Amino acid sequence: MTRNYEFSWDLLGDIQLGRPNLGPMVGIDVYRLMQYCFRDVLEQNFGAEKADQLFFEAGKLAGMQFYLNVIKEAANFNDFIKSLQAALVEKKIGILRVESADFDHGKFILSIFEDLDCSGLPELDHVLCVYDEGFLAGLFEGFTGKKYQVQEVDCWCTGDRTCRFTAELIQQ
Amino acid sequence: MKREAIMALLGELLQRRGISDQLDGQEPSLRQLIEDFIAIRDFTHAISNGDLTQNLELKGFWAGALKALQANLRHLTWQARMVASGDYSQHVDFMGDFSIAFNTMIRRLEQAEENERKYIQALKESEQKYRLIAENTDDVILLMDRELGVRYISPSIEKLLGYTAEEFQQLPLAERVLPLMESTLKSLLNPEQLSQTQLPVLLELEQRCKNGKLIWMESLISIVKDDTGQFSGFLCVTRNITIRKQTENLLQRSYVRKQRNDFFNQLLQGSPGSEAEIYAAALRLGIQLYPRFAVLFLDIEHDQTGQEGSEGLRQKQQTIDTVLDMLNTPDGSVIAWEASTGIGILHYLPVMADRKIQELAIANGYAHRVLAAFPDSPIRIGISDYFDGMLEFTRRFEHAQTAVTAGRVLVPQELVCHFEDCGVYQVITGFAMTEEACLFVERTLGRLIHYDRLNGTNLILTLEKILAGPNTKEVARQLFVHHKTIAFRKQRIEQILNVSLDSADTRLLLEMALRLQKIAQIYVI
Repeated sequence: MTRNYEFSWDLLGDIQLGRPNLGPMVGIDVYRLMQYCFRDVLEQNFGAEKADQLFFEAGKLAGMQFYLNVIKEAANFNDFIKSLQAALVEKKIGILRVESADFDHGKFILSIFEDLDCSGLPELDHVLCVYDEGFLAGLFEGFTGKKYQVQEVDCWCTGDRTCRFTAELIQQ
Repeated sequence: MKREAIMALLGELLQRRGISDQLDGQEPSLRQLIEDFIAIRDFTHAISNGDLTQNLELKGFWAGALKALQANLRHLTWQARMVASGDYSQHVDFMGDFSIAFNTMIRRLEQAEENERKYIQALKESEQKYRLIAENTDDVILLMDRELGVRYISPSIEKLLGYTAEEFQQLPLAERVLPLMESTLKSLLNPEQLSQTQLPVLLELEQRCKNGKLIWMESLISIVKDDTGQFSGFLCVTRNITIRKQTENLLQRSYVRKQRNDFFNQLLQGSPGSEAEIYAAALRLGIQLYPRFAVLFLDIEHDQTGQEGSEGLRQKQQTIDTVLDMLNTPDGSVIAWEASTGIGILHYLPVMADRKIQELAIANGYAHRVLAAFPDSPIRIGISDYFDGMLEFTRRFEHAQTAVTAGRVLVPQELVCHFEDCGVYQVITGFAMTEEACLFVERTLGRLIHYDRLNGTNLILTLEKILAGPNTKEVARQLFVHHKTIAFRKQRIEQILNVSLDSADTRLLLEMALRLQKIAQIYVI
């Protein structure tokens, strides 16, 4: 299989050089325009389930890269969460709050307020943030080196005010 | 179902606890709606009770708002746990005024912990500093509570007394502190006594070490007060002052010696006062003079040490000081002082019977004591004749000195000579070193002395034997020669000196010159 865009952080480019006037930020609507157009096309071509899978995998890759290139390293879980909270706010991705954390057993409940992907969307009667699921799974794997099952249990799109995720260590 | 019934059912759900029995038999959509209400009601009730573990499966705006509240409360709980574990970086940015109060509380907690950390650090540094001082100082630091139990004893106690700190703490009070210190501490426990005592109290006392050795210690006792200013015990800082005490003792003894020396040497130079005034002056200096005493003169020869210069002088002075300290008694029955030519000794004579025998025994006793201490320093002791009181003190001292000089001529093998045994030397010894005496010897014996020196003869000895002997035969026997040789030598002596040895005046003159020459030779030697 020929590949043209195997991901590397360099693909994000030198934003300061390239956008000296407009800067690094872009409107949420533009981001969502791209994401939901992708989703639309993928669904049309591969069906909803496959599209979700692709979004999850893309999110996981992004989460791993985000950990490696932004968080970089954390001494312990608390440092990891603090760095992640700060980075998510800095990048305007969302406000991460930890509802419970059982690091010994690898069980966490996290919520993201003002989520980049879904906050403010119309109620659709199903959870939407499959990319976020993958993103969080990638972050946890980046930090722990172990695989996590992340699932969104509440979402703005189901009428909730926050996106709530459970993350659980996948026992090998 | 009628509108009124639905209204009543919803009202009951809002107002009451439990599930209405009207639910049974209702159509499914209405039943589902009511079950959703009940789920939201129960979830709200659980949150109101502080139970954040419940899950609300229901979706939608109302349920979502409650779940957002639950999520925030759960996050707050997690943050509180983080704060409790010491993570003061937690920051709440939701729930309005509560977040301000929470964040302020965290800042203050952080500040309080920082202050506490600094305080503990300062306390630790202070404790380390004082421990460093306490454990490295040669002084012993002893902290006692009000029951005189040991709260702290510095390790230097082992250096001071030989007991480890642990051993010292196990000692009974009477062994741990001396009776004087114990009584001082106990007296200070009395508030009335404490108020009248000048603090800190400085005690000097002798303490026995673990090895039995006695040392001098100085203890500075202070009162320890607690934070409320109440008496809580004693702090004793103790040090070994044995060397200082020894030095003080040496200085004191030196001072006493000097006072005594000055007093007696002034007396020897001629006291203008009466006898009563002399006794009074002595008493003022702490010198007890008795009415009857023997006067002795101890001469120590120091040339045998081989030391020269200042070191020789130092050793000589050290010997004299030691002998003085050895001979002097606290009750004044023996008083020894350093005179310009030796050591003078007054020895109290309580009884006068067999005085001379007593005096000789006393002098011999001293001679042996001094020789035992300084076997390399030849000594001689002269004893004066006897007079009561102090008025003839100078004369007696001179007679004792004369006895030493005469003793060298008369009894050279003896260490002690009594003035009363000195015969004619009582008179001539003092004259022997005068210029007149030297001229007299030269005039009388000079030619014979020169003859002996030029010819290697010893006619002076022959002359001495002739003058002392009953006849020439006896002199010949003493000199192991024939009596005709003595007769010949006698003629030769008469020729050289141009005198007749048969003349009594001449014999007296020559005998006097010979004796003066002997004394002079002693001084030359």
